[in-house]
Amino acid sequence: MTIHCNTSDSISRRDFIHYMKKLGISMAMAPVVLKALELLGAGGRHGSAYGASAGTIFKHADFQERIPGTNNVRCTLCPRQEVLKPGQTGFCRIRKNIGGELITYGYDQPCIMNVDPIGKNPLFNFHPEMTVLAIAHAGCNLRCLYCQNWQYAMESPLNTRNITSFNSGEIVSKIKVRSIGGISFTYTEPACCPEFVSEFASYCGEFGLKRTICTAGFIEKVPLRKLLKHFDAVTITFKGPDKKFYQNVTSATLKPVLDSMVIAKSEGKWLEVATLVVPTLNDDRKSLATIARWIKDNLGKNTPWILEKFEPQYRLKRLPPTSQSTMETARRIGLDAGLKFVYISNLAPHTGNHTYCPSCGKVLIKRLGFKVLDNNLKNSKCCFCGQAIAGVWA
Amino acid sequence: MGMIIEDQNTDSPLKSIRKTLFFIGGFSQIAQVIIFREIMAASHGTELMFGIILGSWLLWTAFGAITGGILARRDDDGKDFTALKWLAVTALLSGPLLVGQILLVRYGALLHAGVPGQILSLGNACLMAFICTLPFAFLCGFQFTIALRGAPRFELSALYRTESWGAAAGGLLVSLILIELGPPIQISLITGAVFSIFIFFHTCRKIFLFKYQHILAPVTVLIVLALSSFPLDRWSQEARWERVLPGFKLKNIHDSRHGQIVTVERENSGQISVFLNGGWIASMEKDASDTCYHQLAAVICTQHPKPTRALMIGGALGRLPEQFLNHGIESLYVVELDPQFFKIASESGMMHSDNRRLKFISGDGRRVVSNTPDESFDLVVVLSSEPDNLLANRFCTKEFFTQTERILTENGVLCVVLPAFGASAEYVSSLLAKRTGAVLKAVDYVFPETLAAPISGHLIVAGKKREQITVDPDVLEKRLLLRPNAYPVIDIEENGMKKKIKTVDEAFLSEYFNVIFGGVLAKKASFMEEKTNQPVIEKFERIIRNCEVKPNLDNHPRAVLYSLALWKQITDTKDFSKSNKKSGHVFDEIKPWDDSENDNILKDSKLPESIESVRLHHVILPLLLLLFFTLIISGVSIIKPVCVSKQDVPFAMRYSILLCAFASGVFGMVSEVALMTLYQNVSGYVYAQAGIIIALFMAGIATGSYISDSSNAESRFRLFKDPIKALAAILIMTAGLCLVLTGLIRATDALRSWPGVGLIFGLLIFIAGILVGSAFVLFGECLPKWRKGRPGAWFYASDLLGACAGAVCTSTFLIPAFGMIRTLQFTAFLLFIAVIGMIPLWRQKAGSVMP
Repeated sequence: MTIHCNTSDSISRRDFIHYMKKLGISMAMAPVVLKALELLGAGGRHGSAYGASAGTIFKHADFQERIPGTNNVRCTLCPRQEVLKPGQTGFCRIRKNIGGELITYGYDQPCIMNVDPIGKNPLFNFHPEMTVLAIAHAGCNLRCLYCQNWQYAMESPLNTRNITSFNSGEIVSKIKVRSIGGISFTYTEPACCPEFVSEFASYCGEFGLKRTICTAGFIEKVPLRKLLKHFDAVTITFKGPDKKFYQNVTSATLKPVLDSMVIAKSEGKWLEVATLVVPTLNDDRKSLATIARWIKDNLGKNTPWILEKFEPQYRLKRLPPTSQSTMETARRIGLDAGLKFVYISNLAPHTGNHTYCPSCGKVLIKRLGFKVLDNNLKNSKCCFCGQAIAGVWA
Repeated sequence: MGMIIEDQNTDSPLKSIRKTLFFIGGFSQIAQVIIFREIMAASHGTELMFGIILGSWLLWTAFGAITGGILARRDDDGKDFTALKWLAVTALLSGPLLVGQILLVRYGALLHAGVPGQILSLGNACLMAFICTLPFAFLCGFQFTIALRGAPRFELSALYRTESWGAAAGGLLVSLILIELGPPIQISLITGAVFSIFIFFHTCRKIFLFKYQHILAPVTVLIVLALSSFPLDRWSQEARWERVLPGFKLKNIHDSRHGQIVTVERENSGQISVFLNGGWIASMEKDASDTCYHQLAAVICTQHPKPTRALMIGGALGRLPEQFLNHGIESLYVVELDPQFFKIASESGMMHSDNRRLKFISGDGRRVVSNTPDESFDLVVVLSSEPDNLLANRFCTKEFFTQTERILTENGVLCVVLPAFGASAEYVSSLLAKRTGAVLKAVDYVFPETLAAPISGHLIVAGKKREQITVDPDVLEKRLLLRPNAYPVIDIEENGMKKKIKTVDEAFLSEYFNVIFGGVLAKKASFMEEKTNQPVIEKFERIIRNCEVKPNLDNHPRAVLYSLALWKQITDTKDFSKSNKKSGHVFDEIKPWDDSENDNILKDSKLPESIESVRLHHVILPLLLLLFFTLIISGVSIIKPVCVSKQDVPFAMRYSILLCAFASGVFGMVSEVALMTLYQNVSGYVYAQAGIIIALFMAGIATGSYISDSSNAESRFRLFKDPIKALAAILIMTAGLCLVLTGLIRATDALRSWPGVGLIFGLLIFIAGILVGSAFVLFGECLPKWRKGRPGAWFYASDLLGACAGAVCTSTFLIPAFGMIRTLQFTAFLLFIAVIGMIPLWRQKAGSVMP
């Protein structure tokens, strides 16, 4: 088929391409223009996010150093020692450099306030029958691949449903009225928001409430010491035996965590250590024995070691759960290493939930999960053999 | 290296090339199925992945077609031997290449796996699919266009038809026979060898291609066959799983029609874990306590005062069925899609097949429910996997719950257990709330009373009778106390000996429901509110019920969208773990971010939104822009006919035909996915019959190309005298079919009662194939210059790109975000744009008669 065409009436190919180019550019620009108009109409994301209408409270953050000659700020709270430019948010998603000053979004902005048994903190040798007000805010300076609290630990306080009516006086009076023994900062990383945590814990201390904290211990020494002053007991999660584990699984480093545990002990706080036993990552005998030995050598044989069972969750959904026999082996490893109190958690009912007398081996505190069913301690001693039991019991 | 024709034209070259293309089509289909299964097993294994894999495959095939077309065009000696040489060499390499690709998939996944058990991020999954489909998909497109070049001209439709028949045969062969015949590597080697023998000797026997041709070919085939006698597959799988899960020993791999089931054993613990398509399903430990099963069974079974007949969909792997029987259930029917699950459960000591109260049904749960008479069960339990795919979503929709309500007795109870990525009970994120909320709204639509609790993931309970279902621990305790057989078993240690005893301790039993599942059911003082209640449960339910979401439907699977967004949110959180070291700390200096607005908060929160908040204008706007562009081109061609030189086809005409090919490609995929989904919703699981569906579609394509071919002047049948009009008519009919399908979707409920509904769907798939096939042939007919000057590489590529877009978008976000009706309407709109875009073709025709 031959195609004839009157070229005098037609546009040239070059012209056609030229027109098409212009048209293409116009169409490509259209969404950009529309987006810009949309943003102008909305007043900008930042405008609303930081305004009072959003209900966001932010406060000057402690532990910061201005870099001389710039508006950059170094956050000296955790071992990351991040240098943040104006507008940048820290790894924890809580602290942000605004105009050369570090502010925190976590102040008075908890997203969880729940009455829990103390065992959920987890603390096993500290007022075992006590209930506490568990408080947590969004954000964390770790990125554990198995995080159970990922819904808020991996978020910023700006993006979670927070308890906006947080009033310290009102909270404490409610705690007293409801016979709650104390408060516990847990679930996420309370050390990321030392301003709020210290202030509220200090306030609760004035009313004789027990104050406990569960932390990953990835915090600098000075802030940790300041923080611990306001607490009676602390749980530190010893997540894995080596640097590689910490780097690959939690995005943190091991040394600061070890230092934190030693500091907590030296500060005279009641310390318990918790480890989530994760298949293939830290459940081999060598790893568990390393952890157990370190606890015994550096924190003492009376330091309780809580072994938690892993369930497939968050980013490790393809990893099978820890087997019961592995949990039992881990407990045996802890006891063989010389630790007096080794517990199994996240697996109930189980004989590893109970507290046993290190001397006579009888059950001192019988638990069903976190619930205490039977308490055979009298004046902090075993009622069967009279052995003094390490812990804070009354 | 000379090329000598030994006996030119004695055997019809067309016949040879046709036979070659039949085998190319068949083997490429076999390879496609094998590789898809491997990638699904190595990655997340959802439909999102399936869409991405299919899209990548089609994209690489398109590139292969273009490359083949370019190569063939350069072969200007008129005898086409370079093309045949390429064909022969690639045929010889096909089997080993497929094996190499399987290994690439198996080990390529490890590069992105991070730590053992880590789920792949969307980016990594896409990258893996993109890379791992490359070699063979490229080869398929390449071989097709090369083969076209080797054939006489004007035979495009005949060749296309032959390839389609080959693909249909290959699809049937692999889906019905080969998959269950042996391990993938062995199948690949043997079928590759057969393929090589045929192509090499049949096509090239009369043409001397290279020096040791007659020795090289048999030697290669012999080597391939020899290799297939080794257990290469087992070795490679063992090595893979050793790296995927160190400390676990590979026990068994079972390739069934439904997927790859792998069982591994934890060393020194006897714990057996089961994986389906790479995703963890369940773990079983013979001597472990039954606590988690007991707790779930206690909460579910006590929802009914006295359950006697129960149906459990899923859950065969584990001790849950056993625990259910302790609650006095006289007949428990456990449904699993794959009979292999029952075998594994039985071998692991989890299920006692000799128990007469326990009945196993191997089949689709949805089909079982639809075939069950009214009021047959007191309790129906659905242990759903994450509804991030259309298959799993069928158990979380309003339509399914309606069917379930029918089979429940007067005071029957439905329980749906949804996974929640291990989320803690105290807080529920908005995305997870929407996912569960969409399912709860669907249940609410059907049942008079429902409740939701953060138990074992997210538990939804629905009752036909009011004031029966509850999560009040006191009521549940009373009901449990009436069933002594269901009392919890506890481990005790006496004199160093471990024992299991059924507890009758009242203190223990009275606290049981207060402490299980981390104490979420416990009645306690709510801290923030005055009244005594269950604060965790109430807060959870309030959030789920108050979230703004519509019910999850078969034809609008909203839960899929939220699940996919959740997956994206979870896997895309940045960890910065590879930051530079400085002054002793790994993360010391994260400051090298250049972007002053670099803000983890905003970045992370934006990602899930990008999927979840897809709105209508995100699809309509590009379509309108395309329409606008098409109208301009068509308008210009109406006002001033485009210049046609003797050397080239004008841009407007090229645009017209490529747009038509693209739209036809999109329709092919959309219709396939929509029809499969619709049929699945009506009749039950169809993925095992995917081979038959593909075969039907390919047969339709072959038939369609034959019908269009009859428009040739030489043909006896002249269906359409004018190919341009014929193409326009076909595209309009195609758009019409889309609209007919939307009507069918609206009548889904009525369709269920139709006899022979399978035949209707089969016919529709066949018709869709006919439309795609007939359009494809006409693309060449509409552009005579192209037909003379080039093979159909370009519009073949455009058709494949359209199919790629259709594959990626349809099941991943179009259907979940907009539903099937809108998806089909979008496709119809695209086809109408393509028809409008054909105006320059008419103008070309008008131009040809102009003076």
